[in-house]
Amino acid sequence: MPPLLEVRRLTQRFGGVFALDEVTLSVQQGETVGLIGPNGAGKTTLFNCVTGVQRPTQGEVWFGREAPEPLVGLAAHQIAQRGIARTFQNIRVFAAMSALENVVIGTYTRTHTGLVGASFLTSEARREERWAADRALGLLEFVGLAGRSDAMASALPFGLQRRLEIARALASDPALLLLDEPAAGLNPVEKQQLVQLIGRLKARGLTILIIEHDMQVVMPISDRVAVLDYGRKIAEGSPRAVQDDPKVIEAYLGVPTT
Amino acid sequence: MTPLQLFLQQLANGLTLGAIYALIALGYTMVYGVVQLINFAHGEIFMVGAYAALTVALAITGAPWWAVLAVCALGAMALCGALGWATERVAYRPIRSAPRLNALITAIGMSFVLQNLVMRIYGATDRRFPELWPAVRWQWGGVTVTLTQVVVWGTAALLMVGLQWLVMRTRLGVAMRATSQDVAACALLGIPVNRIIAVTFALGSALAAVGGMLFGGYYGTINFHDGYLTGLKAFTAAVLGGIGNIPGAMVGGVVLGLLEGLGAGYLSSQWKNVFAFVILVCLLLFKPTGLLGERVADRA
Repeated sequence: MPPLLEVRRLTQRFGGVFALDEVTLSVQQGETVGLIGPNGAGKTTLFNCVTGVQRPTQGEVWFGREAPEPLVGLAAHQIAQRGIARTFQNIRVFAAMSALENVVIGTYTRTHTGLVGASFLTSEARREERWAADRALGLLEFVGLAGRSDAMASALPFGLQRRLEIARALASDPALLLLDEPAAGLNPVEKQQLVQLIGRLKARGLTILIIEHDMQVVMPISDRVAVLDYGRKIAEGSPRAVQDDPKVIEAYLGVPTT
Repeated sequence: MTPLQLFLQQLANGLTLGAIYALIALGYTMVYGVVQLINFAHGEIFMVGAYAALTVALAITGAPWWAVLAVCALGAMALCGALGWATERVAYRPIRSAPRLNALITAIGMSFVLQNLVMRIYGATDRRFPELWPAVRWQWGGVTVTLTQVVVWGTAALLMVGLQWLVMRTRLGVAMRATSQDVAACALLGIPVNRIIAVTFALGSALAAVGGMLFGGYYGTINFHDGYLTGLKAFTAAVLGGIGNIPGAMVGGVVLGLLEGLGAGYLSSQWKNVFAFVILVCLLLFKPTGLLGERVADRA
């Protein structure tokens, strides 16, 4: 069975700096893979290359289980339409819109009448509009935002904005969810709730690739962990094995462990 | 005329101008919202709308006036919508990631192109605008209200309510608002951002087209350079309301029209054009975010 996502020898160079240096990584259907590494190791760059925010200098990204297709060269919205959703390290919800509207936006790729033209006057379009609102309400409830659907996104506390962003990403019913440091800035209680939320997503069979610094978040939820350092993959394996890997300890602590 | 009558009369006149400014200002503000570009060719789109309505009106005979009016409005909206879409496609999209100044200069160039195109086709002299509605007037306690004014108010109100509904209640509107907040995040949610931007240009241009038709019907003549001054005033209205803010453009247009109407009535009609630009200068000095605007610094 081919993997759902396959990154092959991905390289991203900025001038003389290698943000990514021939990184190869695959994610199987239903798997949760943790991506860790010190700041500046290239983790977010990898997300950006996969989602079409930036075009890698070299290398390939393949996506899809039945008939994998290459993603490099596609526009960001085309990649999203193929079933990859993501969240951001610094939250990027639409601040001046309600929580419900934020999630409704996310359903775009799952609707058929299109946004453009007079389609919103047809009964089919109205039906879809209701469907999108219902789906958004269901997702808000799923992430623990029931009853907050009319709140302005900017008025929600930080921890809830994080959940809102996850609900928005889920709205497209993605095959692969990329989470970029979802625990950053959360307090210990919120972190525990986040771990539970991700656990429920796993239980639903969602495939997840997660960047996270907090080992108490990433270790319990990951089936496998890959470690980046200076743009290179220096280790990969079970959470346990990776934690004990001398190269990983060196990358994090900066001292060689002879 | 008693002072109260004079005041009410100037109010009615100002409201008519204001409704037209508001329709044009919406295009400036919507486009600025999604691409942060002041589309200085927008005034010319308004002018093309007036000529399009004139052409359609001359082509139809023997229909009731309201039917002609509706066909003129739809024809002008369709043509200008397509024109707005096309200018975005050929002139602005290729340089969207270039520095702001490039786009601004392109917009000014686009405005010259449109002006000269219309001058070639329709000539440089004033064109008499056909009467789109009968010259009916009513008197209420010494205040005269014409059918022209009622048509302008009614049409503008209808379009603004429609736009507000579209922006606030439909998924297209949600997508437009989202695009104006974070283009990159929208793309990552699978929204074809380029199409949303093109639709925004088309919508704003269609509204300006109706403004052009009403302008022609109100003043009775049009000229190929009418888009320049009126466009600048509508731009002032958009800044007055807070650029990027849709209700702001409506309020800004009406306020500017009222100030101009009252200024012309009480001071001198020759100074009419000065008021708008004094307001613009004062705004840029003291309150660049406008009446309803607050977002200027919230962009990364």
